[in-house]
Amino acid sequence: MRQTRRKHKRLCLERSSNSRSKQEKTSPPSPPPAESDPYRHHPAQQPPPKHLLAQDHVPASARVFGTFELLEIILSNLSAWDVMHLQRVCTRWRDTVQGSVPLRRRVDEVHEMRKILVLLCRRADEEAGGG
Amino acid sequence: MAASTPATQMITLTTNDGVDMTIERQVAERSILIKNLLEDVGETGEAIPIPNVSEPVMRKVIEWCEQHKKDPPASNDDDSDSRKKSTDIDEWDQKFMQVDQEMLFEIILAANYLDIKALLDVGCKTVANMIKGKSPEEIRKTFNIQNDFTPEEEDQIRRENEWAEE
Repeated sequence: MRQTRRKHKRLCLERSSNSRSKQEKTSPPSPPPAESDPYRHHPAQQPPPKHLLAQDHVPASARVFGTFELLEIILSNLSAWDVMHLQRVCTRWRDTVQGSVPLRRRVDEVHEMRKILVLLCRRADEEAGGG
Repeated sequence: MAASTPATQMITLTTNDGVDMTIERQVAERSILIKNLLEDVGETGEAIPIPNVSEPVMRKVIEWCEQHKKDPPASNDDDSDSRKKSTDIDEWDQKFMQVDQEMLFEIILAANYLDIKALLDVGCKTVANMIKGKSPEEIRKTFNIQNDFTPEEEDQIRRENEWAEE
């Protein structure tokens, strides 16, 4: 029994690592070497806009989601149910929910509600079975 | 001459791409950062550098400030009641926020930096509306977020939330 479970777990792990390596494969390939184009290494005549250079090309969305307070405000506009599920987006989102007192409280409330519902259902089952 | 009527005081901001923008002081003071700066420094008549905001973003922010210049000033107390539900965005603001994704997030960053709470709230609510009801995978795709969980962590989260799956 224990062995099969372990085997199952290993399969799960393998599957996830497979999907991960697949993801890596589908990511855009790095640009080909530019030896054929001698001008490639020279910067374009018109430099990119300064505001792009100043931000090191990090997309604004990454900078917003990378700021605890901003992601916290965004998530606090969502339902407890959404917040609970959104912890699966990436580690930063999970850490933000877990690190924010109000967000964490709301997620905990959903789990509490679930426990109460399970208890009520079990009791109803018992009563139906006993009567 | 026109000196008898109090002329609207103008101030100049310099964006991080070196563009000078002259606007009404009342409009600029929607930004608590600029308001405090003007109060501290006084009227020097010199341009105020805004090192974190570029001209196209500043233009949008000023457009919002112009529209909302007569709004009552934001209160400092951070009571949770002031944060209304995500659907409560007024019509003008909704239209204002119909910009490309990069600009939307740039506006949020600028509002945060310039300390314009109402604009920050509208921006964050707009993003929340984009997120609402989407699966984690859809969100990663929409915002180009890398799933950085280890397989073990993912397995654990899946087990914790199994009961909530459809």
